[in-house]
Amino acid sequence: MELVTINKRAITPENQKKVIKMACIGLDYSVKEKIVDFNKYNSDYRIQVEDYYDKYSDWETGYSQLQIDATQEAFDIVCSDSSQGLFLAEKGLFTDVYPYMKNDSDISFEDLNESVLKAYEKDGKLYYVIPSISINTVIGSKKTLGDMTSWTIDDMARFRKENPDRMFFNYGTQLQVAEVLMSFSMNDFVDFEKGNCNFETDEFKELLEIAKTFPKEIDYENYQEWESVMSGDIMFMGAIISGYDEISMYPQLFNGEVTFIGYPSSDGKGNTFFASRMYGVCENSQYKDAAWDFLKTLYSDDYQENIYNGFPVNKKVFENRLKEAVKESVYKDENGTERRSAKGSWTYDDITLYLYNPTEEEAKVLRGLYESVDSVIDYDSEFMGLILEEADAYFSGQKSFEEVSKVIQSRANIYIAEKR
Amino acid sequence: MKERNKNKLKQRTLRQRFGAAAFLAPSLIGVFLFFVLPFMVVIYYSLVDNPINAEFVWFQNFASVMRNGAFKLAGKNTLIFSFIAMPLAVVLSLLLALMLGRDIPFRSQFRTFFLTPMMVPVASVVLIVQVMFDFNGSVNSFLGTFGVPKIDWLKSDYAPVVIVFLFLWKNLGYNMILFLAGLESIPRELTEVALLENANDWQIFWNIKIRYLSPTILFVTILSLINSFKVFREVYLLTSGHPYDSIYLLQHYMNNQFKQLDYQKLSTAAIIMSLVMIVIIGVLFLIENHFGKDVEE
Repeated sequence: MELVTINKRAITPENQKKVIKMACIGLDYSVKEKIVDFNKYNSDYRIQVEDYYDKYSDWETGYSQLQIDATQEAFDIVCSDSSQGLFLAEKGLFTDVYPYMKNDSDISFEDLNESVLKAYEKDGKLYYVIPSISINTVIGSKKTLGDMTSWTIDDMARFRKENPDRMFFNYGTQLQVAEVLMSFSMNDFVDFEKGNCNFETDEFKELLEIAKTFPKEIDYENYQEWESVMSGDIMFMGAIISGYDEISMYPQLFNGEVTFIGYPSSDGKGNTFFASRMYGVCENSQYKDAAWDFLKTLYSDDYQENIYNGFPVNKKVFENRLKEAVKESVYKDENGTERRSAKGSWTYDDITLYLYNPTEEEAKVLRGLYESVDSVIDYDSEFMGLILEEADAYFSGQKSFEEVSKVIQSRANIYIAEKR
Repeated sequence: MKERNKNKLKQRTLRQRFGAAAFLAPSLIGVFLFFVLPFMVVIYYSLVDNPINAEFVWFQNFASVMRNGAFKLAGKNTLIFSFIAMPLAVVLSLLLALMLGRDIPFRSQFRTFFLTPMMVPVASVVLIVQVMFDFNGSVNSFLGTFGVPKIDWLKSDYAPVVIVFLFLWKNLGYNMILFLAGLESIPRELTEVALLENANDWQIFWNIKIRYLSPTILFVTILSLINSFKVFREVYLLTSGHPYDSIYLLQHYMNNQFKQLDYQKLSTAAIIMSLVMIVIIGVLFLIENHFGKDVEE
C-alpha cells in the first residue's frame, strides 16, 4: 500500500502533459501498473490507453478495427500479439527499436534472449518490444518416446499405426490434427518468399491420410481431458508452458517421467514459443522517444522479475528466477522428511494436480526448452482455413486426394500470389 | 442607346448564369464531395508506398500490380466473363423482347416470370444455387440418373458456367423490359412501309429495328457490363474470398487487398479497372454512333 499526496493545480497549456496514445486488445495488469507509474512520475507525458476489447467486447472485431484504425489514426504505441505475427510491422506501421535498445544504457541488450528477438526480426530490424514468452510443446510419456527428443510426421504415422485407437494432442479430430501437422510443416509445401506452393505431393497425401485416421468429431459432453491422459487414452498432449511450476504437472498426468517432444516437424524444431503481448512504437508518432521511455520499463529487472504469465526475455532474470524456484522446491516436514512444497493446484474434471517448484532435473528440462526454442509458428488462419475447408471433403470420403489437392493448389496459388 | 442595350443584355446573361450556377451548386458540391474527392484520394493512394510513410513512388504500384499473377488472373477472368455474359445478356434479352412483343398466349405471365429474379434477395439466390450446384446438389443428382459422374460445379473449370447462368437468370428480365420499351418506340409507319415494299422479317429487323434500337442496345450493354461486376457479391457468398481460379475476379483481388490493409494495391487495381471500362464504353459509344447516326439525323 502506498500513501500519496495530491496537489491541485490549474491546467495551463504550459504545464499540460502531452498525451501518448496507446491502442491494445486487453492489457496485462502488470503493464497497467507500469502505465500508472509512468503517468504519476513523468512530468511531461502521460499515456492514454484505448482498449479495443472493452470497446467491442469481441476479440476478432476489436482486432480488425484496431488494424484499420492503426493505419489511419495517430497512435503512438500499439500492443499486438503473436497470432498476428508481423502483419502490422509489414505495413510500415512501426519503427525499428534496435537503435533504442542498443544505445540505451538502462537496457542490458546482451542479457536479452537473442533467439526471441531474431524470430521477430524483419530484414534485420525489430519492430516490437517483447517482454515475455510462453513455450508451445507436446508432451508424451518417456516410456513411449524413449530417447526421442523430436519427431517427424513419419514418426507420428508409425505411432498412429501402432496405436490406432488412442487420441493424440488432446483435441484431436481429423481437422485439428491436420491443422497441427500443417502448422509445423507448412514450409514443406509453401515458399512464401518465392511465391510457390505444391500440395499435389505424396508428403501432403501422407499428412492427410494420418489426419484421416483420427475421429471426425469428439463428444465434448463426455470428454474428460485429464482423465483420458491419465488412463492412457490420450497418448500425446499439446501444452503451453508459461510458468516455472507448470512443468511439475505433467509427470503427475502421465504417471511417470515425460518428454517435451514438441510437434512433429521436418526440421526437428517442434517446440516453439510465442509472445502473448508485443508493443510497437508507431513510425508516425511525434513522441517516439517518450514512448520508448515507457516501453523500456518492460525490460527492466523490476518488471522482468515480476512477470507472472510467461517467461522473462531477460536470460539472467530467467535463470535467477529458476534458481530461486529450485531452492524453494522442497521443505522438511515434522518428521524431517523432505517433501515438495506445493505452490498451488489446478482442478479439472474432478482431478487435482499440484503445482510444485521445479526440481533440479525439471529445471534442467525447462532451461533446455527456454534456450532451444528459436521459432514461432507462422500461422495464417485464413490460409489454413481454405486448406482445411477442402481437406474436409477428403476426410468425409466425398472426393479423392487428387481432386482435393487440385482445388487446394488452385486456391493456395491465388492466396500466395496476392501477397506478392 | 445601342451601348445601353448591350450592357443590359450582358447583365441579364450574367444574372441568368449566376442563377443557373446557384441551382446547380448543391448537385455539383455533392458530386465533388462524394465522387470526385474520393477518387482523388484513390489516385493518391495508388501513387504512395503505404498510407503510413506516404512516400511517393509514382507508377511503381501500377507496375507491381500489372506484374502480379493474381491480378493478371483476375483481370483475365473478369474480361472473359464480361465478354461472354454481356453479349449473351443483350442477345437473349433482345430475343425474349421480340418474342414477348408479339401477340402470344400468356404474354404478361411470361413477362412477370422473367422479372421475378430481380425481386429475389441475394441470400436466397445464393441458397438456391448452393442447393442446385453443390457437389451433392440436385443438378448432380439429376445427372447421376444418366450415369454422369458428380461434377464439382463451383470448384472446377465448370464454375464460370454456373456464374454465367446466375448472371443471366438475374439480369435477363430487366434487359428484356428495356428492349420492350425500345421496340415500342419504333415508328410503326416505317415497318408498314417496309412490308408494303415486300421486305421480309429479317430485313425489317436488321435495317429498321436494330437501327432504332441502337441507343437501347448501347444502354443495355453498358448496364450489363456494370452488372457483370456486381455478380461478385453472389460469387463471394458462394465461394468466399479465395475461390477456384476459374472464377477469381477483379473484385476478389480488390476485396482481399482491402482486408490485408493494402490500400495502394487496391487503389491501383481500381484505377486500372476504371481505365479499361472507360475504353470499353468509349468503343461502345463509337459503334453506336456509327450504327445509329442516320436514325438520330
